[in-house]
Amino acid sequence: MMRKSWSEKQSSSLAGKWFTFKSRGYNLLMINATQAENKIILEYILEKEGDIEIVKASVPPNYEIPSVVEVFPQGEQMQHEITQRYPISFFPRMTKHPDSSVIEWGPFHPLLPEPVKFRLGLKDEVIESTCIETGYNYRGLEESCAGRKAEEVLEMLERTSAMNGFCMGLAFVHALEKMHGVDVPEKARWLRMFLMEMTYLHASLHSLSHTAQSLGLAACSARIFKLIGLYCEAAALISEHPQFSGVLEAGGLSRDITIETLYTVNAIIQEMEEDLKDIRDQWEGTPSIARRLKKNGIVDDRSARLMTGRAVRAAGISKDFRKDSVLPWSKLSYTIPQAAGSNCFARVMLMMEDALLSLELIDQIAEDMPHGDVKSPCRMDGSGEAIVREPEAYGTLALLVRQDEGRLQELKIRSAAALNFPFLPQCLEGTEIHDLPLVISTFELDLSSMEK
Amino acid sequence: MSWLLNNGLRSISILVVQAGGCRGCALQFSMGMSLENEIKGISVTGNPKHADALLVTGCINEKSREAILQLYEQMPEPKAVIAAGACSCSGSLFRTSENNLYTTEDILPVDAWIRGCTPDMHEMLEAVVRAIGASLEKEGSRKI
Repeated sequence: MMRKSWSEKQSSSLAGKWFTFKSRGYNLLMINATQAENKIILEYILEKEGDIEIVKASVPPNYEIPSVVEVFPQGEQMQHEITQRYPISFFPRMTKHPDSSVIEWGPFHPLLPEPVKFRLGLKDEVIESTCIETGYNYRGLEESCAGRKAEEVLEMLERTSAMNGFCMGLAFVHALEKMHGVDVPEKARWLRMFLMEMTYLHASLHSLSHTAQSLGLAACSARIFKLIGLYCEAAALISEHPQFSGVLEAGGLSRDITIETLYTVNAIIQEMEEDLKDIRDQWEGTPSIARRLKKNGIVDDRSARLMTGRAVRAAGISKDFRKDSVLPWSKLSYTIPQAAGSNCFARVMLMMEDALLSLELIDQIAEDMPHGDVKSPCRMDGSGEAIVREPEAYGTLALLVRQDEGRLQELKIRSAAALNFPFLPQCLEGTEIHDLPLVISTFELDLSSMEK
Repeated sequence: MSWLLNNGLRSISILVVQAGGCRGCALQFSMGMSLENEIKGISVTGNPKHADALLVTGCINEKSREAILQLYEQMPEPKAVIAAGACSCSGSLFRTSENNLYTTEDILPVDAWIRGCTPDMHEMLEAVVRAIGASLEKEGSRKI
């Protein structure tokens, strides 16, 4: 099929709208695409401190339209996903064509937690350019959810990612509750917060073990796996599934968790503290490890501001993603860790500090847990639309939910990995090939939630 | 280690393929390997030509199917295939997806299945041993 270009006037009008919002401080939250009556409708959802604005573009199939990447670089992966599903393309393409020797790495490798293929342009052993091929994780989740009931969708979302399944499920439940005006009991909100902190801890530990493997520290990785084993032991007291599948429900939780159970979970979890501090001190105090981490994975300040999660705080920017949530984190006393240098070392130290912070918050939540019901009656058979932004293990997650008479009409997920992923190639430029797995591990790309 | 000696083996190398999915099964296996590795004598390899068994987790789409078949072709005989987790065994919740997802059995001859979401790590290691035994039987108990 021949590709046609949008007219210059239409293209500059669309780009002009993005620039206007950019200059007013808006950021790209999500790009949604739908096909109707031989048109592809693109919705650029922009957000500034909770204020949502939508820029729409209606494009005939097989047309090329301007890429949003020039204005919002974080939109590259979202555009890529759209081109995989709809007959539309974006210009200019941001791929680089290496003129040096090219090697392929992936899609499967022990140091790659999820399948993805790297095409690396090398000069000696230094990476000059990177082209990343995704799609190995794609399960068609968003399409599969259409037409289903809320409970079925929740079950699928909870199994989307081992690290973020609970966060995605919670974001979906929050979207439903927002849409139907459901008031969730206080205890359920606190328990959800407890489970979220457990999820963050789990994700931080896995990121650390992956980094330890990438550094070649097998014994240290085994030590971190023992901590993950401890986490699993604690999680098994709450749910038979380590990612707490089946615990969430619209209106609260499907089951109560007694205060005794919370205390036991907390006691098991707190046993990690000494080990975590010891590992942190070891890594910080070993010059070869610190040096290797500091010279790799440097993200420039401008890019860091557009990213999410630890990458932002590693650049010295104080941003607490927990505050995006409707859960009562503001009632807890804590200081969000941040670091300087915007390199692998800063991000790894934040993984340690964040794991320690989760331990502290789990302790506080268990101590201050209110009494009462964990579920309020609610009906999910109405219609409506909601956009929510919620914290997840690696930053923020945005969810668009449209429901029609109790059945899901449309679901669009934008995970933290989709925002951070486009910045990986530029970060890899100048990296020695041996350090490639290390940089990838500190980017913490949860590809299963990105590719769905 | 008696099962290793009975099979005439010194160690088993596993090629783990996280085909696409939540990666819970792959993480469970990594944890099992990390905590029980020395007892079982099983190691993970990234080289298909060193692998005795292929452990597949997650849903397989068209793109990952091609990559998995390439890896399987490169593995030396005798070779075992293990399907780990609900997605790999039956497609789980994603079996009705429009993306033409495959189970491991659809594309490869499977020697052992580990069902469950998420399966137990000890069961996974036991299944590896079972699968190796089955593949050796198929090959007429060839010594490696």
